[in-house]
Amino acid sequence: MMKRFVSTALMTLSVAVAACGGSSLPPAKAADTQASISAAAAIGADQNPQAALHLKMARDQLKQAQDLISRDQGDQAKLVLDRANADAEVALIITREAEASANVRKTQADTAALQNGNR
Amino acid sequence: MKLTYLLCPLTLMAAFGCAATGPTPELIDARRAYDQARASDAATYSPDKLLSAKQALDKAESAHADDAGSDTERSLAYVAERKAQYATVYGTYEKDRRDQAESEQAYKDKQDSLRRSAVQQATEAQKTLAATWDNLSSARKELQSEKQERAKAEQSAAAAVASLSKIAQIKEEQRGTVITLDGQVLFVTGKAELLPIARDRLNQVAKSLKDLDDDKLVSIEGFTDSRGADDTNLKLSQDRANAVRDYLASQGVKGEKLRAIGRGEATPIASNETPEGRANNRRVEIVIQSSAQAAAGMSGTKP
Repeated sequence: MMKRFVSTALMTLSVAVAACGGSSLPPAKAADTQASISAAAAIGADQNPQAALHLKMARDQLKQAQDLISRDQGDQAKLVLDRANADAEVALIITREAEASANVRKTQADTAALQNGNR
Repeated sequence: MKLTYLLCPLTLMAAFGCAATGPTPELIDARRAYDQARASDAATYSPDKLLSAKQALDKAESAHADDAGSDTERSLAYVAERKAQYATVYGTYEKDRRDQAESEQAYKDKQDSLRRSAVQQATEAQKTLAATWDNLSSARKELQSEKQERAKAEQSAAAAVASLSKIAQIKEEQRGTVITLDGQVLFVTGKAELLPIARDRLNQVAKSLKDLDDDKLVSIEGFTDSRGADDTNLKLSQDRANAVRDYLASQGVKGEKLRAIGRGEATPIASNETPEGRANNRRVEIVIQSSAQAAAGMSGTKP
């Protein structure tokens, strides 16, 4: 009776997790994750040390997920893909922020140069 | 049976591990990352991303509550940490974008200000230049006018002096224009009294002198021949110069322009040994001088 109770509970939990894991099929989700990684690479994430670290983690995890998909372990693959996607997004925003910050510094320096040039 | 009832909850607790197993390192990291996100610019500039991070953390916490230490908990906690980091960086990114917009506006405002300042300076410089040009043009016109007036006056004076040549000897010397009048036709012999004929000649002289420039002075110098005592001759020559001066002043020549000097028998122009020579030496010289020439004359030097 105890065993049956635990099994039922575990099954319920698995279904719940599966439901929360999203409705995308693993291969489609893998394609989305690849797109996120490519987007980050396209804006130069590999040249930013912090961003490059997250991009590498994303790539590694994508590879791991693709391996899981090939072994028909879709549920596990989805979890890994979520992690890969999260890393790709962090890599993207770190790169964007670095560029925005540099732009602000440049504009402020240009304004100061205008001011100094007028003295 | 009793033992079963006692063991059941304990087993359940062991199976689910909700009280005995602590959070995974991933969950601890996720919680820390969320706290950092909350304290960062994310709260102001990316609240939606912060909310998303919170929701991800809640999912991880639920997984921990349901199945502590599971792969699911670890995976969800990992994602939650990343979402918190994403929110933090996004907050900074949004702030950067706003700062950039402000910086660009400040730059544009500075450019506009400098441009306006430059235009204003150029306009003022142009005004100053135009005013200076006007002043220069006016000064040129004035100068031209003065030159014309001066030329006219000089012409007039020259004409007046030229007309005197009929009644007197006129010479240009270093000390000025010298009009020499014969003493015999001016004065009663041995006296400083003017003859009637002298007045006619002096009237003509007065007419010429009245047109002279303001900067000209007239020195009236009386001379005698060498007969008689030096002091007598000196006094006579002075008296005669005074008489001519007074007469010219009475005819309208400005008194302040005239000065009378007695030279006595000094600087003869002819020999005192002959009657003709002595007659020539008995004379009055009317010297028209500039102020510089007059100063040299007063010092006793004859330029």
